Amino acid sequence: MHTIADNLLIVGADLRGWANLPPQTCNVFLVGGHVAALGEHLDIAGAQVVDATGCWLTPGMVELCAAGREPGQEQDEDLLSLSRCAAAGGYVAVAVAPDTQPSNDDHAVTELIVRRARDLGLCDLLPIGALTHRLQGQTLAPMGEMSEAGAVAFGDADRPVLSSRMLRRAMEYARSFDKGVVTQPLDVDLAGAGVMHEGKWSTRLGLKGIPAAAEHIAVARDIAVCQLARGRLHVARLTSARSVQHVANAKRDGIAVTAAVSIWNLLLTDAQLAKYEVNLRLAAPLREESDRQALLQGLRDGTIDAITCDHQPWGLAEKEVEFDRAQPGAIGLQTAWPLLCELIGAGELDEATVVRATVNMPRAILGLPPPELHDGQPATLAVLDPTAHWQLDRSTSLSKSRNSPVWGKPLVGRVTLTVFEGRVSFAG
Amino acid sequence: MTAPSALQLRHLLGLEDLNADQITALLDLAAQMKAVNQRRIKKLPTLRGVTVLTFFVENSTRTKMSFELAAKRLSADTMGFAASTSSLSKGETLLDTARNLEAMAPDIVVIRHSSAGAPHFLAERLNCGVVNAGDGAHEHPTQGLLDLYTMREKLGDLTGKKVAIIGDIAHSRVARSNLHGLAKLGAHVHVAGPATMLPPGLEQFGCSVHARAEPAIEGADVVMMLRIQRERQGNDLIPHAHEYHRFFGLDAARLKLAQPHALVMHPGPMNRGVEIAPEVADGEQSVILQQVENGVAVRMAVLYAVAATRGLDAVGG
Amino acid sequence: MSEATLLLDRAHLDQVMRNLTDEILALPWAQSGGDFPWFIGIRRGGVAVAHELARLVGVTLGTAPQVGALDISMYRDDMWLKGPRIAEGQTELPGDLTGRRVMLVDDVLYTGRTVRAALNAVVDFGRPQSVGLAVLLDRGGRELPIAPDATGYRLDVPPDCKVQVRCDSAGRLHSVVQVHNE
Repeated sequence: MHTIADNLLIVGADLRGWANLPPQTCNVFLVGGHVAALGEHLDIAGAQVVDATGCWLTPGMVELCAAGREPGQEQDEDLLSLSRCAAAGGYVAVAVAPDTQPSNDDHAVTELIVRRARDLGLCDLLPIGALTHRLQGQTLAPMGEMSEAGAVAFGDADRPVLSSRMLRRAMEYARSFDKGVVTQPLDVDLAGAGVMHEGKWSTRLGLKGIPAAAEHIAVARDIAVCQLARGRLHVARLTSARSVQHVANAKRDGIAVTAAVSIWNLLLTDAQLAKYEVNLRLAAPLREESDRQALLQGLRDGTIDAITCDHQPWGLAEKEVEFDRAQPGAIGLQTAWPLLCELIGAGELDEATVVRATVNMPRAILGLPPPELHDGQPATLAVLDPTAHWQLDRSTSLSKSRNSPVWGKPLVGRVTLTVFEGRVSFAG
Repeated sequence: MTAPSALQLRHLLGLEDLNADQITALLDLAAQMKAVNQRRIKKLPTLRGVTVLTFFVENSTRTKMSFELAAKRLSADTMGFAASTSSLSKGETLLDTARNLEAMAPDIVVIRHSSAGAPHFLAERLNCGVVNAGDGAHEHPTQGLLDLYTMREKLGDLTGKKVAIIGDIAHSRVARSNLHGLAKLGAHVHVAGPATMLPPGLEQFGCSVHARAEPAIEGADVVMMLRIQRERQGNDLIPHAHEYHRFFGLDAARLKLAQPHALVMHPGPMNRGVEIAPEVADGEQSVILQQVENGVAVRMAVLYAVAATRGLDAVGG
Repeated sequence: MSEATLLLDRAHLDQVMRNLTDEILALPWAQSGGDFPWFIGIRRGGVAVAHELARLVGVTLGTAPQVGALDISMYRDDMWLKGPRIAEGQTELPGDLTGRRVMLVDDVLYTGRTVRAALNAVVDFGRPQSVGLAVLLDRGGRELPIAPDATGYRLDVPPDCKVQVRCDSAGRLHSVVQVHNE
């Protein structure tokens, strides 16, 4: 178990993302895992000081899309290594996708995840239960029992439910337990054997393409089904400009839809695949600059609610292979913060948008209460330094997998301290 | 004197990576290699002690033979490693297999693979020269070079020449290598094929794109026909071979649209009566067999350039 | 380019060429009246010398020997030191060498490695009856057991210097200089 945050004075931090406090510079004193005092000029003799000048003091980020790989593929990640990555990345809660082996389509798996999270005490692990049995889109998964066991939402991970009828029924059924449905929309037939965005670069590289239409056709369908089922839809990762339009229209029409975007799609385009970089083969494929711009604009104007780091750990057997034979996905929990700093530094996103999309909206989508900072409450917070230099490598990475596109590259922005329910889950 | 740097080549992954000087230097060198191939004693001692490993994870008897002959004519030792006899089918990854191959200390690995980018994968991870002998639908640079060589031999400077490439551009590595190479040497490329076989963004290669064969062939100095893969017939790309031949096949009438001296080329193996009519394939304008002959000379030039560049690196020159 | 020191001027060079011609004419094949050898210049420097020698021999004997050029770039043993290079000219021979006498001609004989490469190259164009070697200048410093049959002039040049035989714009031998290696 991790040490209790005791006699710890966080000095000079900028408060960000607290529902009850506006952005301001503040000192925070923690005793026995609780917030003991708050104040601009707080000075406690004998306290252990954490100099957080210029850092953000946030309630911690919340991740909406992460693969835990436990049970079944613990060689690539397990719930302990996942939690460590999350804490080191400034996250205090992670929604865990159901695509494990066996899949999380039963309360036993849901309970396992919840119990592991409680035992580990590093962060919340919030199970997303399967929408259908074995993620196969054929029969409903027992969402009631999984809700009781702690599932926060339902979805079939990256497997689209092919049948619109089935999706409708699943969304209706989830509504009975007041749960939203998460989808990764894709017209599987149109996408075919594609491995990257279809366009100029797929033509140049000789790789099979996934047309943007394969996504936005399915976004439109999922929205239509959501309306029909009077459900609540969260689109896990948008990648194309037209998909953003569909979500904007749905929101304007009052349909209960939210959407997230992967940080990679905000930073990069398909041009970065020029050297067949296997770690940039992603389930949410990198598309063109016009798409990237539309995604950024969608975030700024609130059409897109959240940013996900899309944590997908894979070992060498799945990644150190030919591009078109590799599993899609990259790890991301530990590097989200520096990459967000890059976006802020480049003027592509402002600080308020980043806070909203990583701290506040993910909580709202998962039904968690807005985070507040009060004297006397158990502390859950993350101190994020936007200027520290570091790199993700063997010595710093806590994941069991190494499939990061920024492995070994210089990063600016590092997590200083993460406290989860009174205990220090990460100290940089 | 050609600047030595123009021939320096650590790997040959695609013609995209070469500039006009480098391509020209390789073609000039290939001309000298061709002279060797026309001697009674067709052998040079140049690559004595160099080991060339052909690693073909996709079948291609001709390309493999051409590379092996090229290596032997330069006195290199060759070893072949074919997918059917390999452990790739037993679940071993490409990297594992490649490391096993590397343990045999080859100087050059010639790789043919059905996955685009597989040669790049090896080049980044192995400590030897990698020559791409065709990767998926990406590139087939030595085929591109031998096509350029054949055109240059027959037509001279390719600047301003019109080259028609007809067929399945989307799935053709030969087309991509030619598109890169021809653009760099200043030729005007016109591609044509059914729209199902024309991928998006072809304009990036600086070529003209036509929906019908005729405007591409009209006035062309070269008409290059691409092979129609059997599995694409009756699929979602073309209805059947007969219809393809009617609208896109090269027959005598269509060839008449080209310049009288126009060359007819095909990377082989041909589907007679599908993309090319037999009388055209065997006609006076056909240089298809000369393409094959020139392939050996071009591959000798490539193997020499890569081996000598790596030799230079090894002694820290 | 470093500074060149003149070793032989035009007049001196003409004298050296006459000496070399006399030495060649004193060789057994010339004395016994056998077939003329083909004078095969080793590219690049040997080709101009071979042409000039053939002309001088022709002046004396009434008929000039046939001349060829041999490119040895793919036969050298220093490819690993110098990287990939493309030869400036190709091998051009009067015909198949089988049964012929061959006189290899080079401008400067030094380590002997060029001649070694030339001997290997020659046999790839047939099986000559005999191969001789005539050099304009011998600067010593042999690294292989190779000796010329005829030598125009012997020089003593420091190892860090290069000897260059220069031609005029018409391709005629002009002078010999020594330059420092860069």
